[in-house]
Amino acid sequence: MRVSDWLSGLDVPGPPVCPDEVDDLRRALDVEAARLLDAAGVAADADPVQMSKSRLAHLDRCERSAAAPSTLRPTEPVSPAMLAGRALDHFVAQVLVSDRVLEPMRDLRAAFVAHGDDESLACLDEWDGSDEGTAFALRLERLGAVAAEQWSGIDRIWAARSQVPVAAVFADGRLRVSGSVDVELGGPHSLRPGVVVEVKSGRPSSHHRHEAYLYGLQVALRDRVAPAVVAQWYPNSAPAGVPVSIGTLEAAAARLMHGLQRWLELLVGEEPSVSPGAWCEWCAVRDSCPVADPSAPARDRGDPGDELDHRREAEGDEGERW
Amino acid sequence: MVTQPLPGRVERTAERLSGGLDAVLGDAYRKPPGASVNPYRDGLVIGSYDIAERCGRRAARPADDYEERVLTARRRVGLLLLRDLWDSAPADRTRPWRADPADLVLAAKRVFSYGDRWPDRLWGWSQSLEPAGRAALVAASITWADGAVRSVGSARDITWSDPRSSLRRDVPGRSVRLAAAVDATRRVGDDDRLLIVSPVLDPSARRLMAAHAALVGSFEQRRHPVARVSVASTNSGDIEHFVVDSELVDLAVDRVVEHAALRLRPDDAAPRPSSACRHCHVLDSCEEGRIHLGLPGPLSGPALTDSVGTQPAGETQEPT
Repeated sequence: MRVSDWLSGLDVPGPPVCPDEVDDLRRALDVEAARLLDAAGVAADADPVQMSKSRLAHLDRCERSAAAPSTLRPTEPVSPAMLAGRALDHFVAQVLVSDRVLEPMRDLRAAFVAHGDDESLACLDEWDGSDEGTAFALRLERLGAVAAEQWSGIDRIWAARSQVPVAAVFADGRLRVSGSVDVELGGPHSLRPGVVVEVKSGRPSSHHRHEAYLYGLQVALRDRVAPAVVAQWYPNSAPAGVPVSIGTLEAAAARLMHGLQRWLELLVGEEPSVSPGAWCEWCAVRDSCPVADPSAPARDRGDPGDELDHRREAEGDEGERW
Repeated sequence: MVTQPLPGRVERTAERLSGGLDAVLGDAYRKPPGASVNPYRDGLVIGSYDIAERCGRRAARPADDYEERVLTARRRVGLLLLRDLWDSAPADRTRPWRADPADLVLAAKRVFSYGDRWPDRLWGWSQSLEPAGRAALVAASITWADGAVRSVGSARDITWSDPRSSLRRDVPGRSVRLAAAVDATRRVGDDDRLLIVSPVLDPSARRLMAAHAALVGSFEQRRHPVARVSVASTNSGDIEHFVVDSELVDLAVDRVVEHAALRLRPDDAAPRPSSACRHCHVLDSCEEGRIHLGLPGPLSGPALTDSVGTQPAGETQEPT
């Protein structure tokens, strides 16, 4: 189902969460965040503690991996699977403004050039001519085609925008929750209900649903009006949407605070839990971890694209000290 | 009520600024009468982000590797989109006008079809991109413009700034320029109000950015004084309002003078390590920053001992 058809058929039950409920939730988050930060001894003038969807997902998968400083990371090259997610984001953004992706590899390079993304361009150059590069090019053809087919034709009344930065600040600036919404549609200043869509290139994962809820929370705090629907979109499927209620936002808030609590506990030296899985493959401390095993079965295989997001988000918060 | 410094107070501000710069710069960056000097090449240009920078070492050595990319261009192109919507609004509009985000994609089609309203270098860069690269720029600019419209809430008749210009003040007798990027102006009664759209979340940094805009704006020849400067974050939805009074303007003067001193004597600049060190262009040679990030000691390379004397700290490119 094309996204435009899905949007046309959206059945938004009742009015969105009202501003008073959003304000109450913000106050509750402020109080809880301050309590946790005070308990952990975070000084008022310390750098803000940063939380993000990737950090929360990482904590859910394996705390030891999540807590490992990226300075310990080996210079693990970006894999095609990691870059595929970034490529799909670019293709969707491109289709939203131009309705087409004509030459996926060329268009992706052009997008990387425009963004000054030298790291990704270097990956493409390295893979060029190799079996890995050929396989990646074929994957790009499929991703470009599906993005063009499924994301084109959205009525401009939806005021579609892509890669929307969001940030929520709590406890007098001591906690920041930042991220980037893949696609936002409608909203309080348009004639359509607000819709948040997370674009995913890999396999469905339970973390993706939580990511969408977190972005719903951040958008609600930003606008004081919650989006009507949050959804994940995977290639060749209709968006999997969930109506946003105060319960949805409260659940996202609770997960955020739980993640913050664990993160603070890990930073002051509490022993992390460990859980092997596919993520061991790109873990910074796998060489010293007695249970590292990328082949270990796990409830959730994780998404290599998440690792790329995590690296880029981690670059912004390595200096946490107090 | 007008709280903007009256003409006499503008003169006092100018004197305070010149006196402060005389004290820290001495004869550095002097400009002979009648001489034409490019402050970006041979002088000092002090912008809002310069005085809001918390690390002295980073502030003292501005990066000189500016390259245009989507992140740097989206604001200026976003302003072009919003100005196009204003120009395209019905001439007989009887109600106060507000941009409709749904029209941004139409504005983009118009704006990208001709370059006469673009800053020259920005137009040249956009034309050098392949179509998919320009699409990336369009997408990011629409996102920025949508956020800017959202940040002004229900306010009407916003005059979005021309990206070809910014507030400027060239200090008399010096090759020192103060520059402040302001995104919109709105007339309320007898006062002008300025708006800065910024992702900066730190309250003290926002205050400094507002102060800098208030300082530079106070020197402009205006029919109406600037009474308030607001700083809006499209990321968080917050907006802070700063009344323009002597305290705010003096804060900016003090910070400009401090910054000028840092630029003249960068070796005296005290570092302030933080998570921002990760992205700092002087990280390779900054011991404090590397320690803060848990990295090995400074890499071999130019030591932090370049004495500036009366020479400019280095070339900086003016984004246009």
